[in-house]
Amino acid sequence: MIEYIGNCANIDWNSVIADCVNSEPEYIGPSHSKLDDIPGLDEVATIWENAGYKNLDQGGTVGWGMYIPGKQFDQDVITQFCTHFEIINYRTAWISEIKPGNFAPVHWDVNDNEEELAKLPPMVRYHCHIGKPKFGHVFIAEDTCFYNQEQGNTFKWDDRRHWHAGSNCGLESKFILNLW
Amino acid sequence: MPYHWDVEDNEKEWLKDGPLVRYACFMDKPKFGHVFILEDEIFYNAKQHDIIEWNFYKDWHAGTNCGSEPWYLFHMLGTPND
Repeated sequence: MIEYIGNCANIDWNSVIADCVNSEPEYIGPSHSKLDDIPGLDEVATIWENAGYKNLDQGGTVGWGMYIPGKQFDQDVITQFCTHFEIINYRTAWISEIKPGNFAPVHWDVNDNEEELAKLPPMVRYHCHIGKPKFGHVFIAEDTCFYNQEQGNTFKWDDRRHWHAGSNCGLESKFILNLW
Repeated sequence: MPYHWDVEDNEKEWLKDGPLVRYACFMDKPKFGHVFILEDEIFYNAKQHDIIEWNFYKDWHAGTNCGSEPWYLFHMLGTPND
């Protein structure tokens, strides 16, 4: 289940996005390949392979920028976000950027520590639409397509492992904050 | 398919018969990642066989497929009989 939990437009997201735009991403995802021995990864990689997706570095369209708090943007942004939504603790947070014409095809976020995480109860996840709504900025999670979302709109997932995807058939980069 | 409107080579000729109207039909069953955008409206999980009439045949639109199966959409542009 994914539910709307409120808006945090009180955070200066335009400034956060500017910080990302003015820096190089920490890396371009996906960070894993099919050869990595991580539970769950093979399923996602096989779906992509069978569908014919190719990563940016192979001349394809699959790729997204990863921006990390305390590196490309201020860690305090995450503190503000957690305070606003009364999130007591979190493991990881990042901002993803999908440039025009690029994709994050259907997947769930397989973590490096998936084997350990699988022993724990499902963890909730949050996503926040930090950019203003723009044509072509598509985010899908489970059976919902999020489009034209107000800047700051935030949603809570009951399981970080929900299947999701993103696409940008517009003219400007799309940014989303993710936290779990 | 990025943001665009469809330039038609024969538009001038077709317009001699009257105003043009455009329709789109969701031919296939809804599938993950199949998204159609028309102006500020998004169509996702549209039922198979649903048909939409566009406000204007030159409306800006886009389509994206971040799923795992091909996606087909049927388009028709013409002059209604009435």
